[in-house]
Amino acid sequence: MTVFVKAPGSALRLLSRGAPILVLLAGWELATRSGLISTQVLPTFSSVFVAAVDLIASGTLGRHLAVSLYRALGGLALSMLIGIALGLGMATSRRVENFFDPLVALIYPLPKTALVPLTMVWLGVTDRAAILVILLACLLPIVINTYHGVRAVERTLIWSARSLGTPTRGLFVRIVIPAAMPAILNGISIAIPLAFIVVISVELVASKVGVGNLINGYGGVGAYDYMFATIGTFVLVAFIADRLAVHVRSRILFWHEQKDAP
Amino acid sequence: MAKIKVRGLTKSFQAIKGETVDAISGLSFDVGENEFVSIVGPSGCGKSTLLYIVAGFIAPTRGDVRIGGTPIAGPGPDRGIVFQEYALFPWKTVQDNVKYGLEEKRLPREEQERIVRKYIRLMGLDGFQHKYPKELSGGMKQRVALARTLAYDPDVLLMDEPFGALDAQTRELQQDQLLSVWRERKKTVLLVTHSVDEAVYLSERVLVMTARPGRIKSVVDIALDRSRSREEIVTSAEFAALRNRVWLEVREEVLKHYDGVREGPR
Repeated sequence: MTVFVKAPGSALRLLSRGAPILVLLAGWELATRSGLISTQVLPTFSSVFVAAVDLIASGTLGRHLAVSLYRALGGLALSMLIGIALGLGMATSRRVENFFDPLVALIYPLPKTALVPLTMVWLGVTDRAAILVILLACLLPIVINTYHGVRAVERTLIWSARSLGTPTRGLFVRIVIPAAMPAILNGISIAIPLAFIVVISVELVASKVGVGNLINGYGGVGAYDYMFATIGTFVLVAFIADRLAVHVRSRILFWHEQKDAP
Repeated sequence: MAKIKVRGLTKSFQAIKGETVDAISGLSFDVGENEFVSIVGPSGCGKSTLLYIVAGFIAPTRGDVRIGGTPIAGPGPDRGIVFQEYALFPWKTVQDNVKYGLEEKRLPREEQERIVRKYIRLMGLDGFQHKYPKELSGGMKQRVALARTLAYDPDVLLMDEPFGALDAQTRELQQDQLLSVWRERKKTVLLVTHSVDEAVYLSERVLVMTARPGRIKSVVDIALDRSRSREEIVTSAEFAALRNRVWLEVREEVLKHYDGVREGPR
């Protein structure tokens, strides 16, 4: 994953980063305006932009976005809670590992959105149903990264702490968790985009509100400018959330030595 | 009385095909109070395993380790360890690394601060208190690791190739620093190294181990006049003689091991 790096001349850098997007948008506007691509298929960028402004100003987008964010972040938060606990448990207890390992192996390759019909039967078309699917989708990267992070803690760190007086029961909090923190946060940063992807997928199928539902609705009536505007603003929100997470991560891991750094 | 007493120590590992392999076998030796002893031997002779058993990190298959007459039960505050790879806590500053053991001892806060300041100064780490390990050079990290262990004030210092990752110049500086600390603080030191020069230069006695399974092959007393400078010591004839003797002993074991590998299973 690439990251905006703070550096001298960051305005220039931002421009060079943004250039491909600007070129794409300009090409889009040109192709649709010139009639190269029919506006029936693809609305002009300017009309999408106008639609986006309207969606935001009218509060429609805000209302649906709030629902989607609630679901995405709710599912993510629960998956962090359960995933970290499960990963820590599996890495430190043979019994816990033996019990959960087959389950993890089994749900790993399953496309989580395939569970939507099932959650609809169980929980109806509700926030809870959406949160459950998002939770399952985000869970595995967090479990697996936490597990490997704990397993990879250097034994010399554990031994140093033991010989400096840390009792065995104190190792977990004082050494294992901080040492595994980079891996745990890696798992979370993989889960964040998944939460955004899955919330839309669920809402496309099984929801009366939310951004996914909004996209579906506009698409159904052929309001493509509004549909694109909804997708575009959602992508922007997801992007900002991801940057925010990267920022928080580097704040927490300021001490961490990136071994693969050039 | 011996500070460290090792008797009939054997450590077996389960090999891949189910057979057991002895890393060390029936090993015995003593280290006196405040004595500086080094262990040298060919790689794979089990010298680190031996150190980890004395530290209490791994249990021996057979045999007995006593510190000051008391059998060991796991790691204890009487023994401190320094690793080749430093093993600093990367999420803690230099100061907090040094303070770690003192917090575990539940010393009063002012006492902790005082001891930390003392060892930061002693190890020449002034001005680096608030740095994180990733910001330090190898030699610095090594000094922080030593400061952390010394601050905890164990009677016995166990050192596993402590200078192995350092460049030649830094290594010599750190060796001399260790010697001056050892003289001032009165510690019993057991140091594992693959460097014959290092062992002879630092120690009062050198234990040479055999190739796997490791046993004590010979014990060489290093009677050098320590009042001289490093230059005078390492260029002296006695140093050369002792160094050659230890080197030949190790060499013999390395070749034995190498022949074993070359012949292979028949």
